[in-house]
Amino acid sequence: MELEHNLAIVDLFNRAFGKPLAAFFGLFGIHVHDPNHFVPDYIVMSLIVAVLLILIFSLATRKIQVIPSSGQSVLELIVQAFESQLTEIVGEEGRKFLPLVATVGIFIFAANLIGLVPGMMSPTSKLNVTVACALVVFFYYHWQGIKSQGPGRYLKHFFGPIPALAPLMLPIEIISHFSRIVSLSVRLFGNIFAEELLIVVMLSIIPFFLPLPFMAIAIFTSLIQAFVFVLLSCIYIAGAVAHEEEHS
Amino acid sequence: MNDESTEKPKFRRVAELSSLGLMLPSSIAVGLFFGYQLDKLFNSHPWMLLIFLLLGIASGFISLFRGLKKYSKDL
Repeated sequence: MELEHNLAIVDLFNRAFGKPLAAFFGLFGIHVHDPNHFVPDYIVMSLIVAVLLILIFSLATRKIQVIPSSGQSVLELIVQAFESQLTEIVGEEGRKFLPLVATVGIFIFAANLIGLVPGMMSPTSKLNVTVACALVVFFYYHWQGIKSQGPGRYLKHFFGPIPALAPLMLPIEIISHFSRIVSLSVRLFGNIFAEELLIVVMLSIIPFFLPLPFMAIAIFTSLIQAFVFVLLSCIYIAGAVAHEEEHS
Repeated sequence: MNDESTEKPKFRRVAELSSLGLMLPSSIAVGLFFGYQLDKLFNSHPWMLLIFLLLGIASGFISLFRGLKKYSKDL
């Protein structure tokens, strides 16, 4: 496709780490054809987002005070927003899911926003990254459901309320659980990919000022999509952890 | 309860309802995928695909109804 081109930062990363990584994979018998284009752009961008977040968060929380500094209070605000979501949807015991939900949410939000920086792209505009996030949430909420209810009682949810209909309900429930991965990942991917493509197309028509309103909308979409992802993760966790009231 | 639920989750409700749109097609797609793979596995060409297509449609409607059931109280 004409629109795809290599980002300078990805080329730089590949030039620096491509050969050692190729040699490393060679140890396991995986042959790499082209070490200079080995690491794909979304992995490089995800790593950049992760490193940026780790740096920002560790710098802001190095000195935690009772009376917070400006950086600390901003981060407290962010974490409190996630916490209030969790306690509203899951209930008081939802606080223990805060680490994963907040991490996924902040990562997705930062990954959506970094596409607006010139010379960078959103890692979430590739389906692989969004499927990875959705799979993490999928396995996490099943694991938490099994942990909080025990495997037997958790599996009983899949058979539905009426025992006679269990053979019919089981595949339906399994399909509906797997469709959650698809809908979570495809929604995020579709929105961010469309937003980036729109900006690129607008840039190719008139390179001045025309993309600006779309970039402003892109900030809004980034926030909305990260929020929807977090909200749905909370709802799925609540459904897995809930005691019997979901199916009554 | 009512004062809280009218003010705060309005934004949340928009996000929650906007997620319903993808529920039906993704369930059907997953059902089709399962059916296709099971057909390959058991060599039973059209049957698993058709059965799982119907199951996928049914599961899409069920999850759609479940998502909407919460809101039927408010109407």
